[in-house]
Amino acid sequence: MMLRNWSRQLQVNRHISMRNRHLLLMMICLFGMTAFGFLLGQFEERRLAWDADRQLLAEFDIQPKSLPAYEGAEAEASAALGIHFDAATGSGVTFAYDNGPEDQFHLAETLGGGVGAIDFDGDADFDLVFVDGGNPVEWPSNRTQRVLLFRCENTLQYRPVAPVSGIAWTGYGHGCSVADVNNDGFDDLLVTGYQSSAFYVNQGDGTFEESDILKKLTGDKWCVTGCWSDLDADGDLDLYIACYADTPRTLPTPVCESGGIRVHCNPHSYQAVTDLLLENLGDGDFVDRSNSSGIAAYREYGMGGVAADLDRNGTVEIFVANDGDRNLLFQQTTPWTYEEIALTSGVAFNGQGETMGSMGVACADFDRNGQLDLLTTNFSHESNALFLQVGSLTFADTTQGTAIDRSSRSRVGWSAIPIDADSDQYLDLFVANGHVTQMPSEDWAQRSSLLKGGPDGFEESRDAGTWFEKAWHARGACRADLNNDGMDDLAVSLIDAPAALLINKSLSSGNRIQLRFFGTRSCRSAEGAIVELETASGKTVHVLMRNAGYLASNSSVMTLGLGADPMADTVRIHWPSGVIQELHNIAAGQSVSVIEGRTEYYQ
Amino acid sequence: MKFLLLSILFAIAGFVFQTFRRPTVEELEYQASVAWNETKLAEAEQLARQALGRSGNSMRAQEILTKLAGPLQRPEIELALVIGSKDISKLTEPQFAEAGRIALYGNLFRVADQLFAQGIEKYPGSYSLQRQYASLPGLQLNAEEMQKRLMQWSQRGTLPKDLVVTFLGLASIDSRGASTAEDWLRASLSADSNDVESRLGLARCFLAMGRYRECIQLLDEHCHNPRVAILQAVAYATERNVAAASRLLPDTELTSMRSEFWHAKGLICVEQENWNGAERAFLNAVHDRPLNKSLRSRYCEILRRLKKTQEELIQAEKLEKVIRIVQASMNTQQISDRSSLISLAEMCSEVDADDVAQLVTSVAGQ
Repeated sequence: MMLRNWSRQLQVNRHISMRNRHLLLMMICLFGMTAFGFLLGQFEERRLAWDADRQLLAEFDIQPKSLPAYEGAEAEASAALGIHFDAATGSGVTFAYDNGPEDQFHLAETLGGGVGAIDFDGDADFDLVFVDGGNPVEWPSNRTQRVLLFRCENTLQYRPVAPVSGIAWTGYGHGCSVADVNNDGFDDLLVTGYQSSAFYVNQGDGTFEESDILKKLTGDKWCVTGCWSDLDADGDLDLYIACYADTPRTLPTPVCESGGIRVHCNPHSYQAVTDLLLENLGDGDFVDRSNSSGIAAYREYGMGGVAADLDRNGTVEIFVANDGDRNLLFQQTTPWTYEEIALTSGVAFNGQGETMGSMGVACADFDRNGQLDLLTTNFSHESNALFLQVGSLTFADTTQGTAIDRSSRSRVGWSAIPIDADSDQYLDLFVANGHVTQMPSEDWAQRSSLLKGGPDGFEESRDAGTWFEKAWHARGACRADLNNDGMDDLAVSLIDAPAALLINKSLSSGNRIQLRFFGTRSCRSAEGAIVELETASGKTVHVLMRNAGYLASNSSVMTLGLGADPMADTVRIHWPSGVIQELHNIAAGQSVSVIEGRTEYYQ
Repeated sequence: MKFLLLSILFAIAGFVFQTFRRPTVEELEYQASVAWNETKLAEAEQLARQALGRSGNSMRAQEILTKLAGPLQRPEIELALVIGSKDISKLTEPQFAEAGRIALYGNLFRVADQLFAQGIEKYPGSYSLQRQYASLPGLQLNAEEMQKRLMQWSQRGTLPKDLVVTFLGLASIDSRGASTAEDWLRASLSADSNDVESRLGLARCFLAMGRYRECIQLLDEHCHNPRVAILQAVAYATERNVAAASRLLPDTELTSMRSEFWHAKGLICVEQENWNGAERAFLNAVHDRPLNKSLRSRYCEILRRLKKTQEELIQAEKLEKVIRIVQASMNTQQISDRSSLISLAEMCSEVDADDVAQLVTSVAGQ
């Protein structure tokens, strides 16, 4: 009985338990349904939320997507660190360009002076020559020597050579054009200046002798930059001189005003003058070809100039940078006859069709396409202009938006020196800057620029050196291996401050070779020779150009960067005479002397 | 069955419960404002969207969303608020102008272009719409399209002098405004990667600034479009990669970008030293864009190489006139009176740009 009761109780309990379980399940289901309804409500709420913008995106098939970074950008950023220059101290170069007393506002005071690398004593070390100013208003009564020579005694140790025998020039100076004009193996010197220029022939014994003929031909013209080049391929160097303006001494100096302060007037307040083209007859005599050649038909404010075989057809073209006027490009049609083609070549104006206040010129194959390009340094708010040669004597100004544009827009540029500072086979660029006058809203002294070249153009060096952090009145600058370490250095002439010797201390230096040229059929100095360098990483083209930049003369030694390549596979020299000479397998680190027409070379 | 009904009832109850516990539109607006003030942008956006979804007239929600469009870099929000739920073709003239302006400043150039195009179709007399429609290709450095639009406009109304002068600069100088346009076009492509015109515009910028490799990279994945392929061919040909340029270049010219087509052809011929081919190509390019300084310069170079002295002289004179036009276009104040405009029109005519001369004359006639 008890057992039966217990069994029944168990069944009832189980029944109740089953019911409870069903109830529990029902409750869970109903709760779930309530939650579902709640969620549905929320979903509905979200669905009702405003989304017309998303519909719009779908309707127009708009897909926001960040532009991928340019593949070369990272390399550019890291490469910009590579080049660095330190200013030498205690070198003995104490020269500071004196541009005249304040408050005189003579236009000549704005131009500054040049510097040249000159081996005047033939000891294979580059000495330095500087040209000084003085007082442009009173210069004829000046008695101070205005050409200063510093002889290299030891590595980066210079001693002023004073007085230099045979050089007694007391004019108001600007440029110095160094070249072996008489093919005797010694550097001669042309000094250009305000209403007075002079040409000094190196006697080979540490003395110079003034040549009267050039003094006669230049007369009282305001000569700025002289370019020596063998224009008629006869084996001697002829001369193009860019001349500036006519300022009769009898008239008072015009003074202008800007923002309520007195400033120097722009050159348009003066009369422009024609340039000079002088043929070297090879016997110490020169003849004026300015009129017969067609050059004298152009009257602009000449500042910088280069003469080079830009289209590599065997004849030399002359490019002249003019201040505030169209630039000129003269192409030879017949010997000693020129056609001006700057307009059709695309170098007369900048890419925007604007006239530039051009000062200096650099000529080099900046984009490594095998053709020589041109770069002009310009006035502030114009930016320097890089004209890449995209066809034969057809140039495209590709400066806009580049580091050249950014680094020069607010500065006035003067000397521009292409230099492969880190020997990576890409040309870097030094530009000397400084305003012409104290303008109300612009800095008078300005920082110079150092730009690192790479496969995608230039980047401003982020570790240029402390000298570049300070503002100067920089003007002429030249390139030379001053400390004989195989890397090119820079010398810069500054107004009212001691000249700077900037020693190349670039960290990531690649391999390099140096070439010295001895012309036999060409002029002795081989000015204008074009060198094609072939290494495992590619081909680069270089031109030997001493008189370039602005008022300055570079070294006659050509330094070629090899990058990581251990040797120059082929060095092909196109001598000015037309002779093509090839050298092979020159190991990195060598300094090689090449004689025109000889297959062997000398270390 | 009972259970099923019960379940549905409970679900409805849940739905109703959720509906009743929703904050009111005012509460949403308030919460969105608080989130905005606390710079909780995502939360503010969600709340404002809900408020606007519940009440399309919620001004506060619209205001918050408009403010959010900037920092969130989503111009489509502001644009959608202006357009609303309307069919675009039914927008009023001010709405077209406002929506276009928002799209333009939000870097949605393609949308802006479509809005302006539809706007002037409906309101052809609208100066504001016509002006924006005509100037938009200028931002994309597309002189060809800008000229087309100016020509269309000149048939309907009076052209503004400054726009015609801007066009003259753009037509003559490849790099005119390129560095500033780069920023806009980059922003436009980031906002709308399908915008072919902005891609072409940015590529033109790179070409004008000598950044050929960047140009090639930008166009690389899009050269199935023949217009893109032509521009990339120009970049390759400038880089002297004749094989790549020839591969990309269509066999025949398209209806648009003819000058670029002939430019690329010409450059290829130059590399192949096919001077007669280059002469023909650059002649065609110059014919198509008679005001372009660099094309004319290249044409002169080819004539110089071919020693066609007489023809070179004629072309050099025309190039000089083009540069004078360029210089005039740099300063609108220089061409302030009728006579200077007439002289500009004459110069255009002398360089065979009769269409452009017509545009300038129409401005002079005002």
